[in-house]
Amino acid sequence: MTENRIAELLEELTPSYDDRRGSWERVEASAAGQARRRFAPFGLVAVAVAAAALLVLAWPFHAQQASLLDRARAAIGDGPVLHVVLRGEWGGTLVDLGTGERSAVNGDDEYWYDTRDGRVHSVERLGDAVLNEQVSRPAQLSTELEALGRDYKHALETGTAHVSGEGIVDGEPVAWVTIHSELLPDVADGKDHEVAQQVAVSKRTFEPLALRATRDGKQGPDTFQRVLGLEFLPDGAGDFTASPALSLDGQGFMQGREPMPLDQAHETLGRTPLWLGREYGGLPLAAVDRVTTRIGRHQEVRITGRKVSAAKRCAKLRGAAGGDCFRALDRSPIEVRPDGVFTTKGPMVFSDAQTDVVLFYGTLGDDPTTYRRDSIPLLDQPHVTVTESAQASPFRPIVGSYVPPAGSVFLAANGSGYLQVDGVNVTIEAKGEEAILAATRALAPMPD
Amino acid sequence: MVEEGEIERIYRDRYSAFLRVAVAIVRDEQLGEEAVHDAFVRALRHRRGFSGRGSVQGWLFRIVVNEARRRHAAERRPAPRLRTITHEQDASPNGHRKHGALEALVAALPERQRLALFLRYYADLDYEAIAVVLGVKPGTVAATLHAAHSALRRDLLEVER
Repeated sequence: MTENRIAELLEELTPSYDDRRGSWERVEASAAGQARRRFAPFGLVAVAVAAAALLVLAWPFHAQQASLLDRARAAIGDGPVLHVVLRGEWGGTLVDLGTGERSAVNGDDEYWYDTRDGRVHSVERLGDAVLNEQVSRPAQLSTELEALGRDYKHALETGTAHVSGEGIVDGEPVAWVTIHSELLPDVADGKDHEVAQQVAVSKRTFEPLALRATRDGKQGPDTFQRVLGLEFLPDGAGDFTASPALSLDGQGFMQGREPMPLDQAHETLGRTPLWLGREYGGLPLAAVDRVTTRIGRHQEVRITGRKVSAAKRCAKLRGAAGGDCFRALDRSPIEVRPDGVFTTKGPMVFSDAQTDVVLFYGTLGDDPTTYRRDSIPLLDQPHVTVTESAQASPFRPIVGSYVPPAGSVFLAANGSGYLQVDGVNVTIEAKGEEAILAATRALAPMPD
Repeated sequence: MVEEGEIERIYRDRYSAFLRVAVAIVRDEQLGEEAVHDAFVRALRHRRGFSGRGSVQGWLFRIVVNEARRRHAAERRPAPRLRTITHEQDASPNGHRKHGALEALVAALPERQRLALFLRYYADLDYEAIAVVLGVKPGTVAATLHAAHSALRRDLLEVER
């Protein structure tokens, strides 16, 4: 059977409608809100009063019939400023060391995104603690903001969104709505795979409840995020101020690690260290290291003259054109302070050093890069690592500067435990929660 | 953003193709008309949302296809099953011809293959334009159509045997 034969059969399957012209006037009228949305069975023209009465009578029916996607669109508002709070899976569990009681500590991200000028105010929280807060005009939007700030609304409005499946999010029945999908090749298997961005829409309230990415219909790892709240605010609304003290924007750090004698631990830490003794659970105290961290911050440099004039011209542009204009001005981002002063980032200035003490209980192996014997902690074998510092560095993995309440330990998603004892910030790494909790309870002041 | 006049021109030039593709998806003439109407209302209201990537015609077909798919899903019409195949070719009251065997075979194709066939044969779109509508690469369109042809050839031969 040839392609021509298939074409002939398809010709027979659906009429050609070559004689149909449609009614552009009716499309225009509907778009302007001057015509009923659905086709009238007979092309009746009613007088204004009758039409109004019909509209009133018909409205509840149409409201019931309105699709989930129409209602989802109506549920998110119309303004240009997105305000959304997302809950990721990067939080952890707080364990009371006295009672053993457990409670969740969630990792949340709150955003205000002005879709017209590209400004983003982001706040990253672990529990009630702010880990990072900044206002910026990013060259590349995060996946979340692109999906919820642009693609979701656009896909609902233009009809490119479609329901891909159903599910339950926190006990609430939802429809998974695909707002963007594309086929991407995977070099691993040489095949194309459908990668999609999906939003879970509540079947009860029609509000977005979650966001995820899928590959061939299956949820991708670490892509699920709960939407705790989402609204589009009017022009000029939204919070675009941030405390510089809480911002990691423009910060970086340098870190060095070196072995040190155990008797220098007190001096290095500046207070009494905690330890697990010379041996713990059959694991010898195999290494004691000093880790020195210097945190640097880019200096804010005021700009003047022609650069300011150019920046002002960019500030008058709306939307993506404004962002592109700013980015074309300089390699360093230009920012406008609330007082109208234009600034850019200068060289990075590093602060005084912060020193940590690291106690490794376990087995050491040879360093293959330097041929030094017994110098590398073997983390694939049973071990416990205790890291102690006088300050909670904002660059600690997962927790940053978060400090758990006294008498408790925070078990993070990365498999580490964090606690503070008498002003000493302690990180414990071991295999499994039970091992971390046991080591936490065994900590004791190191004798002088 | 796309000008209203450009949308109107495409609507007037290609209405019959939009309608045919929509009817092929929803398998009902009136639903197809409504899908095309609502799709263009959406396009007109949200023409600022056109990203400029790809052709305006492709963007409009994408909206029509999605609107038709949405209506088809809402109608919850079961796809014809192979075991009920007949060779009747008479016109149904809604103007959409029943063509048992082929309709069932086309309905049984994966959705992307089915849409690619409709867009190729009913709208005469080239691979680039079909790629815009389906959100895939032009090379994938070629592969998708090839797979659809192969499946139809094989299954039609089986039915005729």
